Amino acid sequence: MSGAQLQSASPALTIQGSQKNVGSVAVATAAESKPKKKICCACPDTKRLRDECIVEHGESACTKWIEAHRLCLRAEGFNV
Amino acid sequence: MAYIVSSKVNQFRYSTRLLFSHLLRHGRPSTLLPPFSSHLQPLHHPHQVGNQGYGNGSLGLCPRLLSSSSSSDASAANVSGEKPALDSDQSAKDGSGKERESGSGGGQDQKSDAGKSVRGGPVSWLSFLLLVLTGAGLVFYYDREKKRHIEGIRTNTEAVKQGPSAGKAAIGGPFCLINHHGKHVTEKDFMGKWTLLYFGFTHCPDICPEELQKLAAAVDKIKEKAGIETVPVFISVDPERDTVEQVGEYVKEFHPKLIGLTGSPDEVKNVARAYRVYYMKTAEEDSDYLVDHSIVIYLMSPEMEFVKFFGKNNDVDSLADGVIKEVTQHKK
Repeated sequence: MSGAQLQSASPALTIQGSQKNVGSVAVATAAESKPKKKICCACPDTKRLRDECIVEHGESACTKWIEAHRLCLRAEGFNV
Repeated sequence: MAYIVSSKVNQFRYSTRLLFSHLLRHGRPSTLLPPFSSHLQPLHHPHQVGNQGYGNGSLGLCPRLLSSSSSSDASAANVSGEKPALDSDQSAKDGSGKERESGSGGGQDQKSDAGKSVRGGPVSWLSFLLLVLTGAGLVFYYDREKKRHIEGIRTNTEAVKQGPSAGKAAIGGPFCLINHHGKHVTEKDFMGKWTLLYFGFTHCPDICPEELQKLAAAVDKIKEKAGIETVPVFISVDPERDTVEQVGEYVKEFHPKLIGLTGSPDEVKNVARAYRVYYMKTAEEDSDYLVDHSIVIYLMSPEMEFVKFFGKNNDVDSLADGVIKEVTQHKK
């Protein structure tokens, strides 16, 4: 798990670095407005709970988990 | 003539009386003949002697002869004891009385026989009947309890099985999508082989590629370990941007056996609902939007029934081992 996390973290950092470079070349404000993390990697705890709940009980029965994950994503800066 | 007739009648009366008296006293056919035969001989001789010697005193002579015979032998004494009783009976009753006695004697015999049958039969018959009924009852009760126990076990087993069955029924269903070769496919096209489904989108920057790489590696490892063929399938949840060409280029990078599916927004929505996959597009202004979706890999049986899901926390080894375990268990 730690190895996987490291592997997952390093590409994210690389991509973030590349995005920062692109941002600096283009417009600083545009770069700042974009979220730093990727939506797939954000909020792993609530995401896992939501995914497992939906698989086992269906989407209609997991509204609270979906909402919890959305709140977490918004806190991370995603426009959802 | 009158004397001769009277003597004959007397003889008949004596013989009849002896027969019935023996029947009444002993009450057993097997024991009737010997004493009767033993009594007849002495009777005949006295009668003949009496008849020849004295014409009028026949009745009076009988006692005398009896007494003389008793003095000669002990058994004869017994006989003499019986004869006086007969004489008294003769003097007390007439012909009609004798007939009544004979009739009543027969009735008594019949009654005694009937009584014996009534007493013996019902007891043994009822006992046997009760025994049979009790035995049958016990056998029936035991058999019923045994069946109930077996049904209980089966019910419990079915109750346990219903869990997975309900899960299988809940996830899965028909769909109509387009593969990366541009052909329309349905869930029936994947029947007959074990299928691993993953839902993602080609513009996914991080998790999707990792998950697909894990899926591809697991497919190879499953074949290497257990010789089981599995079909990896990628279904896009981003129908706006994932065209047939886009999906085709995307799946090539992971595994030659990976099948990419896409479709219209409605078709994708239906398949996502059927397979309980959550996806939501972020509200970005430009076309560089992201899609938040469930990260799960589904294992489907050759009948395209849901068997198990693997989450993000599974690595290649646990995914491969889990699939092999489920396939082996399903085949048994």
